[in-house]
Amino acid sequence: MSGNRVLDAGSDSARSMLPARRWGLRLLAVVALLAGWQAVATRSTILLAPPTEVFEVLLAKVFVDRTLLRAIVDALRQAALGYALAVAVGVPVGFLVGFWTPARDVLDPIVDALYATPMVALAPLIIIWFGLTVVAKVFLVFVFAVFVIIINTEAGVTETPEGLIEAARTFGANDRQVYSKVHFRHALPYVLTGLRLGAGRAIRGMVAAELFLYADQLGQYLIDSGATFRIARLLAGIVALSAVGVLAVGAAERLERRLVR
Amino acid sequence: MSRVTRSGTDSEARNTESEPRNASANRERSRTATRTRERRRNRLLGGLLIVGLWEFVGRLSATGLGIAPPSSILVATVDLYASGAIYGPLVETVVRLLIGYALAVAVAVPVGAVMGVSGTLDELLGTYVTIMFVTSVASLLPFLIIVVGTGLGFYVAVVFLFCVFHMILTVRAGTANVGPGLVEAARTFGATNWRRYRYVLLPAALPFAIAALRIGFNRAVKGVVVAELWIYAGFGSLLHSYQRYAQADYVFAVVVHVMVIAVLGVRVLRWLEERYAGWEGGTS
Repeated sequence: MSGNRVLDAGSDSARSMLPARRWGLRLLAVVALLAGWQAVATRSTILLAPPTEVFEVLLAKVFVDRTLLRAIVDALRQAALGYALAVAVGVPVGFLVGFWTPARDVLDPIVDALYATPMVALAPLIIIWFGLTVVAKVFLVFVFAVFVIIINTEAGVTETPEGLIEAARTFGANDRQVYSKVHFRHALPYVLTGLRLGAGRAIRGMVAAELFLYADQLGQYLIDSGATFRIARLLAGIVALSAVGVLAVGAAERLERRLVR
Repeated sequence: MSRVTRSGTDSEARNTESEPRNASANRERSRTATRTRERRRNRLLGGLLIVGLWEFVGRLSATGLGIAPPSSILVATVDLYASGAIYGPLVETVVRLLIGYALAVAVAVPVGAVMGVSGTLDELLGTYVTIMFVTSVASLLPFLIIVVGTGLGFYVAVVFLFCVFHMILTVRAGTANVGPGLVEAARTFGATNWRRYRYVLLPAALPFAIAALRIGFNRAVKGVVVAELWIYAGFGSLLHSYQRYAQADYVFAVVVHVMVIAVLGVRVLRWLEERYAGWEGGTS
């Protein structure tokens, strides 16, 4: 996949290692982390809570009194809305920009610049525009996710090999067929990569919205835990959020693998 | 991970556009020239259209909606300099950004290189890097305050955490990507360990290292803004104070400065990348 070309590059070349050894090393790393954490945490209980306690709190907050679970589900609802909007806007704009050169000329530098901009810097503007409302949060998630989707979709269209198009034309394909059968097909894996990356960014946007716009349950959970030095509670929240991020990206990845064969 | 995509597709698009490679190079070149002219014209016209529309809508909606028209953003920008309000925050922000970024580079390059070279260390360290990579740094903010306090250390820590893992992974990919064939060949020709690193691994991994610097810089700018909006300082306090009085034009002016810093840094590093990428052609 073009998406992680750089990150995945070479993952096969130097990685000729027995799976048993690989998993052993990973396990060792995790065990060492937990042991070190436990050792440090038992020495200074103000700054750090031991992993056992964090785990305990995590289970309690997710399955027993469910404060954390409810907070995350609530935030996820807004994230899902923002993400859906980002997909609904990003994919068509990506195709438009990919197909229509003048639009690409004009929008490319703008999309690039916005993509490089820290979206959190827009939070003050968003507050001016929408106030401290749910709309503001959904909008922040939207801007977090939309540009990756545009950029990947566009790349999928513009990088369709000339040869494919020419071959289709040779066999008598008309414009519409070239667009729908060649460009579209070629763009699909890129679009899906965009959707996966967008999902990860939507989760980040959700956290940013909770912390930088106004704190709903999730933001309050994190901020209150920190302000009252309930470190185990705080760390449990952070761990749960990471898990949600991994799950969201994992789900998008599964979709990607199913659709691209 | 997302930034990587951009770098990949982007450099590729650029290469195919700017480097005629086949025999009909001449025809190709004139076509590229026409295309460049056309693109420039499109950008000018499109830019004017967008600015014009924005100005029009902004004026219509007056100040109520906060769509500050470009002209008022320009006035606000001039005022930021004339009143001197921008200088202090600008210096503060850039200093924090650079300290955190420099620390992250100092850690990421050796760690990434070691991970790329040694499979064992890759698995060991990679586990931690992956764990941190998937963690939203923003969610760590309340925790970081407790651990490092609210001083300079806080900003530096946030910037560091924002960019270090992306850089480690890119440098790692770069060193791991140097085909074993290349290293093997060097060994066959009797290169010592040191020489293998110095003359084979290092030059081959250099483009990736610079790509890592670029990706990292962009993340670092994000980090400094997040940190300064969490504990108001520098640009963050500027943004916040203008937002409180709904001065959208001033907020825009500050946001534009953030954008310029982010884009300029990336431009400079991309220029370096293209210069040192050699015949291999960038990050791909």
